[in-house]
Amino acid sequence: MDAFTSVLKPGTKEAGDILSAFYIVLGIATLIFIIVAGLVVYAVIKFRRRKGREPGQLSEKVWLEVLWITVPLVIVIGLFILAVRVMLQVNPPSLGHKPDLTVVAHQWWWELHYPPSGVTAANEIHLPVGKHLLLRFESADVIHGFWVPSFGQKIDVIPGHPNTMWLTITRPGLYLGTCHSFCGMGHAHMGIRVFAQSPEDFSAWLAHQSRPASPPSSVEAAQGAELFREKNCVNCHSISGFMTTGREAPDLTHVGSRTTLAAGTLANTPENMAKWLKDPQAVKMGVLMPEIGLEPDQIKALSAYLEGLK
Amino acid sequence: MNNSEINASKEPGSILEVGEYKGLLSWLSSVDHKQIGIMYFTTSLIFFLAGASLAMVMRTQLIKPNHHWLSPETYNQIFTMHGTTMIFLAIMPMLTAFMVYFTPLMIGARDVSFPRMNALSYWLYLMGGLLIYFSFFTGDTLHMGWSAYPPLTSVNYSMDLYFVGTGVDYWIVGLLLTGAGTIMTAINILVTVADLRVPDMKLARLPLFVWMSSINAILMLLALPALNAALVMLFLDRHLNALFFNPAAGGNPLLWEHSFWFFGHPEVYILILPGFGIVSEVIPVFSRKVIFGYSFMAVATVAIGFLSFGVWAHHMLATGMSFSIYYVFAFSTALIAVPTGIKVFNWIATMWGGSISFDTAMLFCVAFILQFTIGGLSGVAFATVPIDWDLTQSYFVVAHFHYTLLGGTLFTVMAGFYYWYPKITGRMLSEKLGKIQFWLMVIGFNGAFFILHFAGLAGMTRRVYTYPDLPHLATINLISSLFAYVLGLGILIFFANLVISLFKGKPAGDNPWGGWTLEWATSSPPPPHNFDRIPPVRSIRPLWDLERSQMAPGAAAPPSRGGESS
Repeated sequence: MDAFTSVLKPGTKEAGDILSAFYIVLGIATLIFIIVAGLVVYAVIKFRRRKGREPGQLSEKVWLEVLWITVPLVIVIGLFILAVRVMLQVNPPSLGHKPDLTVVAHQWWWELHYPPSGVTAANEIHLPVGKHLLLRFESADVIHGFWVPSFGQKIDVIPGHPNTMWLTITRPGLYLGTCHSFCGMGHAHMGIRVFAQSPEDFSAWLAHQSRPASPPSSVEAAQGAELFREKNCVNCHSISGFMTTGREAPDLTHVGSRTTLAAGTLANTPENMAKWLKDPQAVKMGVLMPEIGLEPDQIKALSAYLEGLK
Repeated sequence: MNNSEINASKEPGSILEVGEYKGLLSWLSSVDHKQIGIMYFTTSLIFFLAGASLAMVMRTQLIKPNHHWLSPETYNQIFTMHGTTMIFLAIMPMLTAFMVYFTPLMIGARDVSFPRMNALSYWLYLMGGLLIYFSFFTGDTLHMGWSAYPPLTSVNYSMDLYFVGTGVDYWIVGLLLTGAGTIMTAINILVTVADLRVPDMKLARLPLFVWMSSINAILMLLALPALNAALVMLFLDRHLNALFFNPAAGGNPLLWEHSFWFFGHPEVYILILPGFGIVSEVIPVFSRKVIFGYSFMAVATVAIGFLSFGVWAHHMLATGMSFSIYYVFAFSTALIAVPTGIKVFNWIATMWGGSISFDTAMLFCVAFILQFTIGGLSGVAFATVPIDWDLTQSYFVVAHFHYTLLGGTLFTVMAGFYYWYPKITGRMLSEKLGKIQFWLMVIGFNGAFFILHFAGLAGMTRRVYTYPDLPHLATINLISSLFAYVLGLGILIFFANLVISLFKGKPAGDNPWGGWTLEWATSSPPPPHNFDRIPPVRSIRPLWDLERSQMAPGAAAPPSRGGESS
């Protein structure tokens, strides 16, 4: 699967439009810089101090001033028109459309709701390719920012001020992104992973996500499930079909099917899950998950249970 | 050209020999604008060294991906302090130092209008700066970035795992103090320029540095109160639960962003206008030509000052405001490129046909023009709203504003030091060290920051203590960090030059560069009362006129600038 990580590798129609505008501005800027630098370099070489030359004291030429007021003004107006056109192209008003996905930012993870299907997930976003999608952004605490470079635009995620963004993903693949607005200790570990899939694959994923969690499949996993309840994990985390009380932390109904842990901090493997459960602060400093003080065999059991939640 | 021989017998040749300036008490109790200026210089240089050291620590942490040398807690405090230090405690007061020291000299005044208030401004600045740094010693967490967005800075979130932090409170109170000092300085400069010019110095004969400092003072006077109001609101939120910025209770964090950037964008121009002024003084003198387009330069400065209050929301283009707001701010932002362009072209036109001598001060000006143009052009790119959506808050924006603040302002400040250090101290800075410093800084700065544009394009976001090993990021950051050390070395050489030249520098004489403005008409260092006698001011270049009239005694000197209509 291709990974998209760069502004220069657009994966949406909108990003492509913005990138074209960027190249136009880059071209104009380069041209202006070459002119300015050319004049400076010429002056520096040509008008070096030499003996016996007394420079003239020309103090003003109005037509020159008019020239370098008018030309930049024309360029500025042109760029403004370009900006307005691209703005309307990529992010028209949402006009009461229902969002296809609502993203709620938390310190330091992403809560995901797919309103039509009622699916709740966390951190790893799945979206269909080729559809004009509306995303809605809310914050549960401080100001965050949603930035997937290959999607083109970014949007601030502000408490009490929901925002929206339009997307038409053109190429399937894995898109990496991150929180762009400094949001505290865990800011660097607030990764976004977007899996852009064919509409069929996306529907299948959504159908799978809407199923309740699978029951523990081994004795060890059953012990893990018991620990999950006993150690108060349920106060913050929910597992649909098991206990759905906590909403403060990522939904774990299908945590075993995700590729990473702790918002993209660790690959999702049993070893890493054990590491994470043992000492969350060591993995992601500042994280609000407490160290629960589990024995090694308890960690193993809990890890077996969680990794079984495919 | 050099009049120093005449006065050599009675004037002290170095600042260290001025009788009135001997002893600690003479400095602590001083109301002399020159001593206060020197204290501003010294203090801001020390803060600058602190801010630059923090930058070196940051670049070391970022030298490779997934680097865990510093904890996020430490790194977040460091980048917050780096930004706060550089903007409020280093660059702005350094420019204030030039304004306070040179404005009275350039208009032929004995001091500023309110010398005691001038001293108060300085002491408020020093104490405010120390308070901000004191937050380090509380063992507390000041991690928020220099823009301090709530709710992150509200009591609920500005805490570590165990207790509520007071770091933000030190920051607020410290900035209120320095801000109050800055407002007083602004009033002082404005009244001084309005009131204390030598009688012949009409506004159309003001040196451009004084023009730009005055416009700068107006910006300070109007912008800083917005910051102070915002700081007070934040303080009330934190301690009296005032709920200005708490969305859960009907407050709005965007109110902070508006208030902060209503100050913050004029602040960007506050951080460059005196620098423009320095360049507008240095380029003519080293090109042996009168400044080109004087009146256009002055008017462009006024235009920048005016427009700078109508662009603040371009810092908020990704906050999801309505498009009609975006249109206004995008256009005003792009428009400000026009008067800035006027300046750049007029500087080049001043060099055109001149007889340019590449002393260190001039070298810094030339590099400044090119680097500032790059920063200005990427600024215009950001005014194209969708590009801002793409690149704001990424390392592209980090590269952009370092091109304006470091490649721009800091280079003008360096030019100012090389140009005026002889006037302030009576000693020349070493040109040899200066040229080494210049090349290290040009190579180090461009090597460290140009490539960071690409880090932003490659998906690196700001204010992260470490970053994943995405394609290209490791290489880009390694290169950037290595060049940052070169830049750091250049800055160290500058400090060495400042200290060594104070003791071992060549005696400067009154007018080592053949300057034309009034500060060169007195001795170096100037006596405490500034002038024994002041030459007549009949153009923007009184010493040029004086020189011409001395060369042809009896003949009336032609005014040096056309269109003189007095």
